[in-house]
Amino acid sequence: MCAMRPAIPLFLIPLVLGLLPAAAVGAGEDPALTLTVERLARQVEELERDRSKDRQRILELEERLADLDASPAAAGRAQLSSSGVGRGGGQGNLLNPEITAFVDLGGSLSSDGDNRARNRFNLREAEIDFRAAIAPQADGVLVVAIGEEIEDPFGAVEVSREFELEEAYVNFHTLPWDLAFKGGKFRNAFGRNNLLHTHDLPQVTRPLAVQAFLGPEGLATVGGSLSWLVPNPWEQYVEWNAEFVNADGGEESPILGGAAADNPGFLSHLKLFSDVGDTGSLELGTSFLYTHTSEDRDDTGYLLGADLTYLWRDPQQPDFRSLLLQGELFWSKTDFAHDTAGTIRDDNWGFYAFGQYQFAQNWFAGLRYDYTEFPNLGERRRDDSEWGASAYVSWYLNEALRLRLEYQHLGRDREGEGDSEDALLLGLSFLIGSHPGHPYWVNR
Amino acid sequence: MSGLVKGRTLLLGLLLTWLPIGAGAEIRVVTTNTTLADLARQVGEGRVRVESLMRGPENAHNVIPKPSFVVKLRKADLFVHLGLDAEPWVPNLVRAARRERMLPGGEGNVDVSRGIALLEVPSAGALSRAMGDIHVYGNTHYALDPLNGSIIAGNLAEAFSRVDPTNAALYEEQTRKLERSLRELTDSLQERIEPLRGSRVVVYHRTWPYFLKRFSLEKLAEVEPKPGIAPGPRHIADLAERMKRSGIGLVLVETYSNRKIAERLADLAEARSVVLAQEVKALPGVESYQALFRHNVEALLAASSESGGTP
Repeated sequence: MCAMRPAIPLFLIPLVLGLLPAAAVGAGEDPALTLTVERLARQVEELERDRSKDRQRILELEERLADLDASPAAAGRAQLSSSGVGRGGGQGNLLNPEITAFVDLGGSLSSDGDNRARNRFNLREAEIDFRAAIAPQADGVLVVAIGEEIEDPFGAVEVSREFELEEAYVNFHTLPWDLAFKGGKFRNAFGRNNLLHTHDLPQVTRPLAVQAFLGPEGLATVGGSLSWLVPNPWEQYVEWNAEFVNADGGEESPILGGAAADNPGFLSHLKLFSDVGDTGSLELGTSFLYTHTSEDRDDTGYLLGADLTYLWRDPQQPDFRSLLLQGELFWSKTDFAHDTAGTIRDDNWGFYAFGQYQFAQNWFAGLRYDYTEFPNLGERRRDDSEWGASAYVSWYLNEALRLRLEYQHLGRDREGEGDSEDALLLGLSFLIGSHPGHPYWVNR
Repeated sequence: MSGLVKGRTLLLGLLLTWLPIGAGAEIRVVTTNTTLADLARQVGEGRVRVESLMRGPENAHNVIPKPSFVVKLRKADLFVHLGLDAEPWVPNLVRAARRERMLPGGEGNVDVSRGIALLEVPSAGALSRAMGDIHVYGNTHYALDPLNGSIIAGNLAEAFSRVDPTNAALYEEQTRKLERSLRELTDSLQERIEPLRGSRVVVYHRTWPYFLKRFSLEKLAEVEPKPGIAPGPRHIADLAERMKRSGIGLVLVETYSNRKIAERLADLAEARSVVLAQEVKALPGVESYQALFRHNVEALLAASSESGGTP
């Protein structure tokens, strides 16, 4: 508390005492001096007042301290520590991790009236995120989620709730030679969108291409990830990620999954980030994924990706106006076992692109275009494709609550037959607890 | 003989030209905001190269660290920040830099909040988001008291001396000089703002408690119903009524808040809204820490005389 009034009492009091008689003599002669004396006197008065307040506060605190020392809880604590009981548990909740609960609710109204999954509200995900430092150089992260799914969209409504371990890893963020290492289960560094949890998505749904190539909820696998900040003469941010993982991205993962699940998978992501002028930034990335797609490892599958993110913020009111442009491209080449024709090599591609403009402090509006083919191994969907166009608006109450309304038109080509669907989608996300960080281009 | 002299002269010349370079490498300082950057420049004048991550007008609480910040941090000797929970993006940034000295407690990590007496410290056990965007340790806008600038300067001088002990005396001297300048500035501005002494004002966000206290102004209310929560029309109408009843003439707003709302409120309450600089470079012409206070005091006086004086 003393630091609040640096040095004033020490030099001011003699000064005031010295000046007072002079002021008395010279009063009425020098108005500037009179003013100075008045100001100093006032300051002394203020200091005196503050001092008596402080004294009062100290007395109160001393009383409280005495009460605490005499309380049964304190007596208990003293007993525990003297007997050695409870050693190691004395830190109480102080070293507990940061905990955040995210809830992501969705709703949709679709022109496809028979599809029950597209005509109802659903609890898309409730997620709990724990994170804490394990050591000065390492953090631990655990993310668990419960999601809701309609078993048969065209049959009787039966909702299944699935528990999922989304991420569980240790992250050594500060290692020698500009390295970092992640070990455990984590969202894989393929492109930009895949790194986001559902509640951080910029639109209500994940882009169709991400769903088709990496899985409905993106790709998260168990393994290790090494990241290197590549030194370069241009002094730009260049990061290379290399991941060696189980090729087990879950049943619905098209490349790292199914028959590939027993094999290892290798991923690589190279990212270049650069500021553009004072107010913009550009990020470019390339991704690569390789695995064996059959148990005997005769067949292979690989996926290439490229991504671009541009962000601009208004220099004068950066919290009120911004523009975000992002696009990702996917191209895969996979072998799969065909019922009659033996092994077939198939290649597919897809992309998404969106633009989002912030037109007020808490309002964002955007457009997204999607196109994708399906690299589903072993399924005869090699000629299928799907495209979509969406328009959305997002509103934030604050950083802990977001509401989003989206219109989506989908066109599908399945086994040579086309159909289309229009849907109105609603998204409501909120969080409880602390607020972990997220990528720079994601709003709040 | 003359060869020897020449040799000595050459050696001396080399020493004279080389020594200052060897011992004189500048300290590379990266600060979170422009205010800390200016204070660092003044304390380390001639010996430091300073760069701020923020530009001035933006809200420190909402900055999202870009990868280019990481590049800047990795090249720096010292990273200066406000500490507490003022800049929630800082912990992630220092981890992303992959430099052990930048981690909390590391030699390069400089938290300038040390020694500051905080205002608006919430009572423990009563924290919740129902209170809006709260700061759990207390109000973090402490640099808006010019005398707290001296404490910050002291922390900076200590950090500079740690990485460059040979110039410790210089940093000490420049800190004393800055302290004197801030003391004189405070005195003269307190005198200047004398006509407004004890006046009550409305502030947009809880940015100004240190500033108001130092310059003997009082806060009637905030425009935001809760910190970080945008006000609704009803709240504005009620507040305007309250202002009229109490004869409040000034609405203080920072550059990153919604100035239109502040203006609307001022119109309703027949008062004046005045945009103040919450950081160095937040407004054109506010190029130094001292200029920030001069600008803010003059802006208040000007707005007050336009609104016909504030009781």
